[in-house]
This record gives sequence, C-alpha cells and structure tokens, in this order.
Amino acid sequence: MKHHDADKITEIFRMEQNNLFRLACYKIGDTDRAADLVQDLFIKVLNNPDRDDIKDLKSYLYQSLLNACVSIFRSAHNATFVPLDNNIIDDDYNNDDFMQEYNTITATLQQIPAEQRDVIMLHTIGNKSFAEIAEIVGTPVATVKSRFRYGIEKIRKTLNNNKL
Amino acid sequence: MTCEEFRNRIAEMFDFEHIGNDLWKHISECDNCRNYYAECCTVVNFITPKAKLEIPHFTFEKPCSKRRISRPMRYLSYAALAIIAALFAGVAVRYYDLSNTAQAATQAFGNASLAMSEVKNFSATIMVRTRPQDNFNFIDIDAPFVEHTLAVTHSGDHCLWCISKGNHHVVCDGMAQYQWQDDVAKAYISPYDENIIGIFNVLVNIGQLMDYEMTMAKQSGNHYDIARSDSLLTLTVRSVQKESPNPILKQHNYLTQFDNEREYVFDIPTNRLLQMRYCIIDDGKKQIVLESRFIDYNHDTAMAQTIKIPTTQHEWIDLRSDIEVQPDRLTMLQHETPTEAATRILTSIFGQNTSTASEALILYDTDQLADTWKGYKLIGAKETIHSEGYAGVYVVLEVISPHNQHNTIVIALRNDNPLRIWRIDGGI
Ligand SMILES: [Zn+2]
Repeated sequence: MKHHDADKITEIFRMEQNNLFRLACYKIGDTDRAADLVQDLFIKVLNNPDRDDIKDLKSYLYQSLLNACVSIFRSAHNATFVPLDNNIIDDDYNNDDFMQEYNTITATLQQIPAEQRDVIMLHTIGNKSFAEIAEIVGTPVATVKSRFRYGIEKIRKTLNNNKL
Repeated sequence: MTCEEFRNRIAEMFDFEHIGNDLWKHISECDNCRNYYAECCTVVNFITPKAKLEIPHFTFEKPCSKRRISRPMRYLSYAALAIIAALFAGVAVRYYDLSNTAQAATQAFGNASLAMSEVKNFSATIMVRTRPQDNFNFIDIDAPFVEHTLAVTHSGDHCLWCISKGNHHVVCDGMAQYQWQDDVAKAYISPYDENIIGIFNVLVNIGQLMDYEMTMAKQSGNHYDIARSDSLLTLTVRSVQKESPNPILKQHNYLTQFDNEREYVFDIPTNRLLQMRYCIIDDGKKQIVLESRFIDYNHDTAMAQTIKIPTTQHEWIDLRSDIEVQPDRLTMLQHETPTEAATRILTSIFGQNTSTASEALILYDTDQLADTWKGYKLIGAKETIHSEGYAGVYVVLEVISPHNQHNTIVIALRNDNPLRIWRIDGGI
C-alpha cells in the first residue's frame, strides 16, 4: 500500500494540470467545462477516503478524467457542434481557434474506434509516452502501439483518398 | 529490417521514451518507408492541436514544496569527484582518434552552422520534461513533457524572439525582454541581455549550438553514428558523463552526471536542422528529456508569433530601472551571503510579513506567496549549490510543513541586478 499525502497529490496535480486540461478540452469541446472538470477531479482525489489504495496516482487521474469526459460528452452530444460565430470579440480569439481545431480533430478521430482514439489523444494532447498510456488504459504496451498504428493508418488512408 | 517490420513498428518512431536506431537506419536506406513515415508525421501533425489555450488557474487546498531534492543530492558527491578527476585529467595529454564518423559529424554540424547563420526566421515546438509552473530553465527527468513554442526572427542587427509555455510568455524585441502570464496582473520588463530563459537561450542561437557540436566532434571522445539517405542525415552523438559540457545539459549540474545521447536530423539539400532529441541514459534506460516536434523555417509563422506584447493588459514593472533602497539597508543587503539572504527572506514569508523582504520578492505576488506558505516553519539552510549554467545559486533549506512533515526545498537566488542584492528567482 502506498501512502499519498496531500502534498504529494498536489505536486502530481501541478505537474499534470496543463495536460489534463488540454485533454479535457479536446475531449468535450468546451474549455470552461474542461476547467471545472479538472478542478473537480483534484478535489475528488483529495477527499477520496480510499486514496491510499490507489496504486498509480497519475494513471488514476487520467482514467478518471477520461471517464468523466465520456459521461459529459454523452449527455451533451446533441449540442456539441455549435456553428462558429463570425463576430469574434477581441479576447475571444483563442476560443475561436480552439473551436475550429476541435471540430477538425474530432471529425477526423470519429472515423476510428474509441480505444484507438484514446491512445492517440493521450499521446498527441496528453503528451504521454506509450508506456505511460499502457498504465492508464490498463493494456500491454504492444497493444497501445498497435492501436496507435491502426488509428494513424486508417486516418492516413482517408486523407489520401480525399486528396485523390 | 524489412519494410513490413518497419511498418509494424512505426509507432515507435513517435514514442517519447524509446527510439529504435534500427528504424532510423531503415528509413535512411529505404525511400518507400521514408515516404510512409513522412505521411504518418503529416497525420500526427494534423491531429495534434496547435491552438493556444489559456490555462485556468487551478486552486489547490494544500500548498506543497515544489522542488524535490532527491536527484541533485544523489549525484552531488559524484559531482565533487568529477571535478577533482577533471583537474587531474588536465595534466595528462589526451588523444582522440578522429574516425571517419567524427569527421563526417564535424562536416554535418559545420554545414548546419553555416546554413543556420543564413536563416532569418524559424519557429519550433519543443517538448521538455519540466514543470508547467517553473521558469524556462529547468529540466526534470521525472516530470511530464511540457510543450514550448519558440519563434525567432532577425531584423537588422537585432534578434527578436518569443517563447511560450501554457499561459507563460517571454518576448524579446531586441532591446528588452517582456515576461508575462495571461492570468497574472504583474508583468516584467528586463534588460535584453539578462538570461531569463535558460536552456532556450541556446535554442534561440541554434547556429551556436551547431558550432559547439562541430567543435566537440573535432576534439572530443564522443561516439558518433550517422545514417544517410538522399535527403536526410541523422546524426546520433553519444557522450559519456562529463565528457561533453553540452550547453543545454550543463545548465543542470545533475544532468551532466548521466551519459547522454543527442540526435540531430538534417535536411541534406538545405543543410538545415529538422529535428533534435536529447536523451539521458539512466541505469541503461534511455529517457528523452527534450525533443523538437516541428522546426519550421516559414517566414510568416515566425514573424506573426514574435510581435504580440499585451502592453495595456498588465501592470508592467520595469526591472531595468531599479527600485530605491535606503543606503544603510542597501549595504546590509549587498553584504549578505546567499544562505543569510535565503533564511531572512523565507522567515519573512513564513511569518506572513513579506514587506520586510520586498526587494527580494520583486518577481512575486507577495500576498499569494504568504498564503501558499502559511503555517510553514523554517529549520535552517543546509547548503549552497552552484550550477555552471545558472547565473545565480541554489540554497537548500529544511522546513516543516503545516502537517508537521520535514521537507527539503531548494530556492534559486541571483544578484546579477544593478543593486547587487539577492533576489528569489524560483523554487517558491
Ligand atoms: Zn522499407
């Protein structure tokens, strides 16, 4: 049994917060909700009475985040693709860039199975190595690598076909 | 290796931890697989987000001591030994046989140095193992990758650059450096020649990095591997600990205690650097600590990123003109040792009395600082560490957390300011 004191949890959280936040943003397409989700996640882990039983805290954070994103995405699915507003207000330019990119990336990744999508997003957005991803999704590294490969391969073929 | 094997293992080309040298070798010899790899890069690039997201300020219930001391301490005695060994080694004449690979490496780095001196603009995405909150001068083998974007442009005699990670930005307009965080009111203007971006200073002057590697290839005991194809040249340099005072790695004393491997990919037609990767070898395991994702020589990208300074949105503090300090106090501050300064400053922070150390805390929001360290007690300073690449010093201190735990913290102090007084530069 590993003991996770509050200082340790805070430290891991500080290190991972940017990656967790970005991953949540591109999972659910809403930066405000993503921020809330990450903040809630921290409080939940800190208040979890069983937190000492968690073997790998970092993996646990990512697993919990992915699960939370799935439920949010399901409940809000009908309202996700909001058409872009052309009247961009000054300090909102970031969000506009984000929504465009979110829509492109989501549409591209929709073509591949969810487990391949998770591996790819943990890698390109969460900046996790394949070994770390294996811990998070609970499969051998070889499986993670082949999911990445099949996912990329499928998208590559589609992009090539569209070009022709 | 067959083409089928290469395709089966294509994922490894994108891993952060393992690099298959046999894979690089294969694409240097096989046009089909090289094209396949290039297409996969395009796909990965396409689905990798580039929009700048404003990272929200998350609140943490409990404060924490940010710097862990385990690694630097573990290698400290080795560092001392290595210095003594280096002193003795200077007496003996060392002879290194220049094999063909070393000559080829000299030539490749020389060509790249020349090509880079003609490059007016470039931008790059650099992944570094560090902590999002830290300054731009810290590599931590155990930390996750944090994305940094860098854009450099030359205008007349001036070098302009811009670097960002998350919501933290530094821009140099050739005359001064502007440093701000999106969600923090205070922002700072520093003299243009003060090194506030640490390892990235090396990357801004990437031609000089190539010069350094060329010089090393001529004279050092490094091991070189070269893979060549029609258009790509991949050069892998392996250095035994302490043999190579690499300008990036030497900024961290503890990193130079490991063997390291540096991989550079050049575009043969233009001689330009396309990709670089730095690995640390710890107990036989290769760990990438720094990796470039996309080095882009497109003029417009570089220009566009270099010029946005939000002058009206922050409270700008000009560090070029210094604050006023009473003469008696100034004399006292100038005569402090780093340990004395660190002890005095931390005592005032922990005692919720930051105004008595305001000269040293100019870079910080003092209310927030007092809040973060509420309930901590200082036991005392343990030692002072000097790191070759850092202009200041590190002081190691022992503290007791509000939960009665003993913690070791390391704070960075520097006095290379016009007043010559110690100021906190990081670690709290
Ligand atoms: Zn092949």
